[in-house]
Amino acid sequence: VWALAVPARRRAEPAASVADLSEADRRLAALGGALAAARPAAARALLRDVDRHLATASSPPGETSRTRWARDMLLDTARVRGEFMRGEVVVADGWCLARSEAALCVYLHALDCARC
Amino acid sequence: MLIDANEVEDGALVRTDLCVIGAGAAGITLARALAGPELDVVLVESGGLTREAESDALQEAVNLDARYPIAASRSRVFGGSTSHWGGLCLPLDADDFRPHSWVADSGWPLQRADLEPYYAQALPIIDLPRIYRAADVRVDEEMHPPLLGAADAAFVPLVWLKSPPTRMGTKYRDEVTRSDHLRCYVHATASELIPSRYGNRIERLEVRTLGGRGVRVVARDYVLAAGGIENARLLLLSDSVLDRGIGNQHDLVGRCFMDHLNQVVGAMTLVSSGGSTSFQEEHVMERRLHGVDASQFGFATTAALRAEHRLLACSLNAVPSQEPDPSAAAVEDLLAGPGGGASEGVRTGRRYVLYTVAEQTPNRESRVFLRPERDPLGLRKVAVDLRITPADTRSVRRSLELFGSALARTGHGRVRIRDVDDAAWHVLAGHHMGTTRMADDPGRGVTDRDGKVHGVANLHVAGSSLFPTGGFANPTLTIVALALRQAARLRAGAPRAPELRGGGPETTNRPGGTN
Repeated sequence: VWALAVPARRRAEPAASVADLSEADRRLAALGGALAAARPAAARALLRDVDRHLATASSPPGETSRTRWARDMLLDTARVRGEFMRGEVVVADGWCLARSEAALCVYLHALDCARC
Repeated sequence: MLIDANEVEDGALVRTDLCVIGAGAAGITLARALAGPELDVVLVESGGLTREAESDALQEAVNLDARYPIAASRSRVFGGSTSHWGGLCLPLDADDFRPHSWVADSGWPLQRADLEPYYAQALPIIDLPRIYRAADVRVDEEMHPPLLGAADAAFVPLVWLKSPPTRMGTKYRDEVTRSDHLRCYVHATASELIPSRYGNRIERLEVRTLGGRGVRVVARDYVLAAGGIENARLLLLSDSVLDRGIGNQHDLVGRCFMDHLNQVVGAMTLVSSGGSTSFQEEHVMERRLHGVDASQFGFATTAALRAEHRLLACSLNAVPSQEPDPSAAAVEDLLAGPGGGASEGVRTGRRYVLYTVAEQTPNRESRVFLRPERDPLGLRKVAVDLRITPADTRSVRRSLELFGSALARTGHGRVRIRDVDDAAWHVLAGHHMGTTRMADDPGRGVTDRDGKVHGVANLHVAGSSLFPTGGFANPTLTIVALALRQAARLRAGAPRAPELRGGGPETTNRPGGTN
């Protein structure tokens, strides 16, 4: 499942090259893990969202900036508020998150899993 | 004056203008409001001046759902439930009085405007300031904009009022003791209202004591103010003439028993935004205004939101939390926006526990009724069968989801929803409502809009058993306001009967007792 989080061209790369997660990233990854455990199908769908964004990005991020890129893209204020306005809400470990916020958590969880 | 019924001669006859049964918030309010040179009042209280195990044994109920802790929410003592209440108060909202197409049996025969002057009069009785809406609290909205604001059609801010809490038994004991026009009999348990042959008038009240005495009270009018469970019980016990009990021709006495769902349902983390450093509600909390509960603030669903989503009334209340919560820290990172958590470190939010006080659906299967078991006076015990419906809990959950979305839309924070298990929902607020509900149609209510029992000329009911729906507000302020309204109507419509002036045989029976 989590292979989806890392585009094919990067899967063969050694784990050490995957961007290290900060303390804050790992907390979000834990939320993503809780969501994946509770609703695996929803988590897979969120990861596919991230993959689509990665595939269409005009300048794909380098390894070290991937988490920053994901944050920039997925936590855009207008995007998040728009999702709440449209009712695109995902519950992760009880927290009501916008779809993109939840996608970031699941993505970071996948990165964390790939690193281990 | 205060009289211990155990010291009254067995078989004594007490005559009065008005007999009030139950010395709780409603009973004491009514008795104080009406007793005077023009109206002699007798107040009959089953308990003593302090809690006693023997008196409490008289209210033991057969609880059909052990998850519902019924015993903890009842006080058989002079002062009633004000002897143990927490003091939080709010009036009911105008929408609480209206019928709603999505809630069966909803709607009061009164409007908020009918109670408005009595709410104002009720405030000092339970030591509340003369403000009772968030809008009345002066705040600097420029520096502290409302969290969701008047412009938000979904939620309104709540600022709970806080009584000290007033222990009415303590506060008003001296006044009752000194009164020449109010006699309060303690240790006097009302055992049966005896109606006339056709059941359209009450002729007397039978009273018993654990000391083996029996007393009869004959009055022109009677007000039953013994609480949401005992009001129904006494009407049902009064079956020597009418076999279904008094006021029960439509099998409504004891039905539609409601409480308030009162449960921790989630958490909230707030972050600053828009240049303000805090929110109106937090600001109010910090100011610790006299009479405003400074420990919490809350939000209520608006009438428009309830209608749109077919919800029951619900408040969500925030209490500061000191509990460590790693997932809250993660959410605060999200709220920091792009680059926030990773590059700037953890951003500290303000964390709160969210608990609800929420309305239940009036449900005829949720009820109190008589059982064959007997109490120490030989009176049939009451069974309590409180039902919580899926609609009740769904409404809270949906309200919380909508609140979470509203909070997020405005960029102020995030809400965490706690999965409340079925057993936990049964720990309620201890607000017993609905068992003698008021309605203009006798087929839908036990009493009319004035609390007079349908079909009985001189019997009234007071207290939260009258509430057709409960809203989310703690009931004491409304109980006192309703009692004041009833007092005004009794005073206006009830010229004193000449034959009841002066004392009766009981005057020779008055003991030194507890006067």
